[in-house]
Amino acid sequence: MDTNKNESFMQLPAFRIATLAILIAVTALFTYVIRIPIAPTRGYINFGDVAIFFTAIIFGPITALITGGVGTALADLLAGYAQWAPFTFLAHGLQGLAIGLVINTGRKLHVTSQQRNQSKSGQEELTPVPRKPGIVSLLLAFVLGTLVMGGIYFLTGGLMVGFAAAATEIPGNILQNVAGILVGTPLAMAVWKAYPPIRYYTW
Amino acid sequence: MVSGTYLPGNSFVHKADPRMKFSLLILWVIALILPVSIAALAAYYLALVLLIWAGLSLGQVFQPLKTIWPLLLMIALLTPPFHQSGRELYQVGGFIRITEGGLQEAIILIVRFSGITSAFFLFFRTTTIDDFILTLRWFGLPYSGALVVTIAFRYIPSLLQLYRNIEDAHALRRPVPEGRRKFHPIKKFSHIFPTLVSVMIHSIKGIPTLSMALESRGFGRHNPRTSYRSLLPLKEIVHQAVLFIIVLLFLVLLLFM
Repeated sequence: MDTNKNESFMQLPAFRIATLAILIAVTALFTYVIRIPIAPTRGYINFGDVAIFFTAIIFGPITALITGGVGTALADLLAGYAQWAPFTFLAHGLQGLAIGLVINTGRKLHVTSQQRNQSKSGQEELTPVPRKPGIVSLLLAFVLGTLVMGGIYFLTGGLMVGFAAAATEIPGNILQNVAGILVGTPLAMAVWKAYPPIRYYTW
Repeated sequence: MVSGTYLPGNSFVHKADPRMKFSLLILWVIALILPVSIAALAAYYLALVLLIWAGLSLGQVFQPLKTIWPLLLMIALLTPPFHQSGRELYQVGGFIRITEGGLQEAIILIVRFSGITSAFFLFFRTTTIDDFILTLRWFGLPYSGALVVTIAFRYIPSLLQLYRNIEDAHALRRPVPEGRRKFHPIKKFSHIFPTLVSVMIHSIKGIPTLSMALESRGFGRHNPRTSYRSLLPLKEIVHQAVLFIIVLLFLVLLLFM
């Protein structure tokens, strides 16, 4: 059986469990291990948001909600920052959901406008939905994702460490999202192109 | 890596039931977040310090603070100028006033955050990830949710190894830099991208194999499952429940101090 293209196989609970588990592990790895120094003074950004953008673009909002939340929270547990794990779960999970929802809405609008154009020109067959999100969707996803993630971290951080100290985290959170969109989107497109079976991996 | 921050031991904190520890962790964090007096906060924190000392060692008391000291410093520097209540204690440069209220607020935030960090530290230092997942199951996490997290933990070391191998393979294809390496974030980004693509494709390629393995082990069937590891029945930990109630009373009593 060619499991890569068998649609009924993709609908099995086992397939969903496997997809979620592997994407969570990838998100935890990207958050915990892959860190790029941005300043000579030990300042760095992690790639957790890259994995979240990737998942939201390829797999959609619900998968991004689960893998973004659980993956980054696991990374916090492993790195010894367990006190942040519940807030990370909330912040990154909702960030993934927001990004996925904006991108999916952008795609639906694209399809609707395409249908309208085709009915005008008398064409019957629809051209496939492009996986590459439009620039406007991406920018909106970036803004909403940053607001959701940064906002939750600011509110929960303010509760724990005070709003003055929590405000110092805002530039870092914005930078994380910039890295997310700048690396996550080309990564999703590169994987989409290099590994065609991935287009059957959604539900 | 998969063991997280767990430190094996034989202390009473290690032996305590993870459900009790988890419930206490939640209650302790709530107690630390509530607007209580500095004395009550200090008592909560001191109790945690004593538990870490008794359950682990004196050196471990400072371990959680090592990871958060930059943030504690930030709280100490940034909180007083934004809270101007009470008597003025000091003035910096004629415009930054340090008042009694500001100083008090900074102390509250420092003790609160140190307490929350220490509570989580003690829990995960004395509880294995397996027990933590079983505890979450006991508190209502569905079987499939626990399975997803367990499999994810199992895959993290494999993916890390995969990442290192691919990274080394890509590094071998690049020319060896002459002289001292310069700090160059954009170059670092461009070097890492092909590695990320390969890691992602390799990881996603593993999904069908993993699903087939789950299917062949009967995942998705509705007959009852047996489990290799399980938590003790509640009737066997009655003495711990008594201790739990005493600690709970201590937390509540301090609220009214």
